[in-house]
Amino acid sequence: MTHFISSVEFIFGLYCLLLLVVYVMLFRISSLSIRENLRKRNSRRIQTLMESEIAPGVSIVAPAYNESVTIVNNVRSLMTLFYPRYEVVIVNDGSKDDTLAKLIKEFDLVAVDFMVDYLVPCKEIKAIYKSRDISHKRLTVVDKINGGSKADAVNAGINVAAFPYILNTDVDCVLANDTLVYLMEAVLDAKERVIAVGATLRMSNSSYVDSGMLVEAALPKPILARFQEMEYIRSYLLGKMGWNYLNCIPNVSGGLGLFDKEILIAAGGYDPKSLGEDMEMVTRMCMKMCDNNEKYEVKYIPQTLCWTEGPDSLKMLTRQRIRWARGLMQIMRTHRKAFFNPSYRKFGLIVFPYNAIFEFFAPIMEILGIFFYIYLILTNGINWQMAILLLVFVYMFSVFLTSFSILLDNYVYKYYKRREDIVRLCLTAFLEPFIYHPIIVYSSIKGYIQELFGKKHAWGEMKRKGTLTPLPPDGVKK
Amino acid sequence: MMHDIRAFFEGDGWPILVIAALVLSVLFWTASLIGIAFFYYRDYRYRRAYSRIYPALRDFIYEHVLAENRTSHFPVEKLGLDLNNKLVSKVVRHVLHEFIFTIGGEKGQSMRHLFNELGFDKEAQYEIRHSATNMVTTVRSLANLALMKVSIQEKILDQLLKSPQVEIRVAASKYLLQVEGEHAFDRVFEGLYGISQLHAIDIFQTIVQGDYFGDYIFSQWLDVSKSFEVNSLIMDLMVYYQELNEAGLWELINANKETKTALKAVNSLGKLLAKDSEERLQELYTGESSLTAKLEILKALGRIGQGKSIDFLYRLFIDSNLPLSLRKHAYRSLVAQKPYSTTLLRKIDGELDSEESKLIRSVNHPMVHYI
Amino acid sequence: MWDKKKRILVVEDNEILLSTMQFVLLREGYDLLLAKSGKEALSLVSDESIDLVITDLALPFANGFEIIDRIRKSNTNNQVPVIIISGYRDDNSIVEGFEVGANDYIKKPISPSELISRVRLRIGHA
Repeated sequence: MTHFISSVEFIFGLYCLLLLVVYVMLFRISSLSIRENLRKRNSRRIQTLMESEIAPGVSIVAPAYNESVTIVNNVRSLMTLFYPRYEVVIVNDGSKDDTLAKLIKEFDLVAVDFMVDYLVPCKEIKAIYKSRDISHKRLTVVDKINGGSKADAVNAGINVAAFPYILNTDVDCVLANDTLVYLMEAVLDAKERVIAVGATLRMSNSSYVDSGMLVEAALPKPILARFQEMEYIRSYLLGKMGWNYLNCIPNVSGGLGLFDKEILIAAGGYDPKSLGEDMEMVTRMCMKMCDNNEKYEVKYIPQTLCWTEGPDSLKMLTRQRIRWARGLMQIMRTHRKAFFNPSYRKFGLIVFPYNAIFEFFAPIMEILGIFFYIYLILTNGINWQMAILLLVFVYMFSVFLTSFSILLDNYVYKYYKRREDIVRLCLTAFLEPFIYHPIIVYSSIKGYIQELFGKKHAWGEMKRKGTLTPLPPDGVKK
Repeated sequence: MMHDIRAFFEGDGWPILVIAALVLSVLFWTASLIGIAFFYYRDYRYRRAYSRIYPALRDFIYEHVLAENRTSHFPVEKLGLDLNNKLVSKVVRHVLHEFIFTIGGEKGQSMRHLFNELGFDKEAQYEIRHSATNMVTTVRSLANLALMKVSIQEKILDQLLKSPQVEIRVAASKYLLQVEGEHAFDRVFEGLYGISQLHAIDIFQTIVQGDYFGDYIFSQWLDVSKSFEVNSLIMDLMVYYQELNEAGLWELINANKETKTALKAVNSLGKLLAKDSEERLQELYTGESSLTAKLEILKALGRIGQGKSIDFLYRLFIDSNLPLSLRKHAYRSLVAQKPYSTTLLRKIDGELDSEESKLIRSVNHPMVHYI
Repeated sequence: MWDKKKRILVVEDNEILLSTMQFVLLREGYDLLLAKSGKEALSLVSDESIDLVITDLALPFANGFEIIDRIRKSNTNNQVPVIIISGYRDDNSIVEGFEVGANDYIKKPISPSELISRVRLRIGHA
């Protein structure tokens, strides 16, 4: 029995130790990565790219499903981004409301003759609309049959897009008006071919947004959204920026990501069956590059360029996280051949195993840990002094990491104009482990169970998720 | 090791380690908070200084630069600014930059003189001498000296042009281009290596915004051994100044057919209307397998076309086994070759099946601007 | 009461460029309306009588192209001359500007004396 206990303790001990090492490493390299970014930024005028006549073109692809209320303002905000060469492709994914009608009226659209090469699979495109106004010639609206997922809609946009880079975003996201300049700068400044770039996302819940444009950023008032804001800041500035330094980024989020279209197509486009289509896409793109034996980079920049509305009810949040968990599990299963596979280089040896061990297994380890703890309490096998000491340390360490991410965020730019916002955010770090974290772990575990269970029940249930949800298909909300 | 971990959890002499880690966490946490407070304070100080300095400087510029006909010797003492104060100097520099990038023409020249007379030339000269390792200040100082058109000691400039840091080399090249114009071309292109596409764009902008209109031979710097970024920059310049060098471009194409350098060279042939390359491009197409390359060749044929490729394009267009994008571009390139293709296009119109006519309508649609 | 000063609408989101143009044009004796976003500009265009519009292209809410297009299609002020002031230097932007109905295109940075003479060319002295 003692042998059993020591083995379990060994596994948990080793796991935590490794995790600690990873976090200490991220703490160090994320700041290096951000400093590098800011140093380059400070030494040049961002305008150079904005005014350039040889800047490569970008196609913005934004799917819309039942977005009637906000569609016009959101499209307007996409149309006023600052960049010399870009187009906006809005994909109306078979909306049941008057999304399309509103677009037609506002932008004076007419259906045009078209022929589409279905380079990546998607449901049939019914019509393509262009504006009669020359001033809206950047706008293309694609009307397609609902494919039940964001992936399918984005694929349609990719098929229609004209330029070599694709910016994938959601119509309900609010973008900073120099988004394209910042992201393209990261692409053009890299040593190797950049296949994807992302930037920091945060919550738009309490920010002041006028006609689809961000006027003033503010900390969300609803507590759940505030937790998410904090989680995002930590995951982007500490996590993604850290991995950026090692060129080991696992995922570019679906809210805002710029992609190399050629690789996107070569890898086969988004997978409509995936519940984590953004991460799955990046995974496949990386593996494709490794298969072709080509060097590549996936990059992140620390600036916040996108504000998205975070779910502010418990139900919505758990639903979102259950989906993410299932998506992660699918990826782990589908692409398991990459696990510690040296032919996938860094991706196979670091990115994928890290994701499997520390992202995918983390909630499982936590739950098992709690059970083990209870077992030890019942059998009176706990050294309380040590246990409490460890608990306090882990708690303080997490608070420190969160506060450090907030520091990094302020190093990049002071996003909140009001001072009390930053104080509140710092205080939220103390509450997170008690309130928010359990919700996330619970949702993940529930997601894993559903995924295991759902497997037996074939794809029927999955399809319904997209088409029957009264809200935008879950895929669109991410 | 298993025993050690067991012992660790049992607390045998280990708590001290955990306590140390805990104390460290608390310390680092405190440091983070202090850091956040510091950034807030720094921002507050900057904004306070800005709101004080900006209106004064703006009114000064309006009164003495815009309203008066003065081009130099501005009464800067009237401003009463303590430029030895780092914060003040930073704010003044930022405000002046904004004005310099806003106001052009003769008044723009006066603005640059004002910048100079406020003593920023000395500051920048000092910095390129003493902080050659600090990339940010060196690059900034070079940019400022270029704005003021102040000359730099040859020895220092040479060092900067040969710096191991590409950011500094590019900044020094830009300085040279801004100050010496076309006389700097040889020197800049000679030392150009290791640049990113962004640097290439930066240098391109610097040259074309310098209002240079001459007959410099950019293509002499094309070289198969150079990186894509360098060759691409030179090709962009050739296109901008319409300097056609078919031999040079074909050398790039033949050297590495599948690379983006070759694609760019094909594209440049098209934009430079290299009419003698029409047949060679057709040959190239036949031996080509990648779709991207084929599309690039078709586009170029459309631009160049003098009628020699219309049969070739026609055969591609009617081949229903080909991918749609190829047929689309073949047709587009036929349209681009009017009047050579007029008869052929009329013939095509008469024998279309429904799919083809749909394709043609979409290509010809006036509202579809990019395909 | 019978204000005969020529009235110019200046649309620009950059504070420094806006105030510089304000200074230059006021000195010439023109009457000015200022807008910092496409939205403000559009409402001013529909409500006020204006002799000339000077607009940037990269603007929040509605870009310069759209402002010009709306002006040309509106019932009031649709004949008003428009001058674009922009950092975009590529042919496409310039051509598009004239296509939507601009009368002139000035690249940044702007020379004040050039601006004044181009304004005079369109609407004469104040």
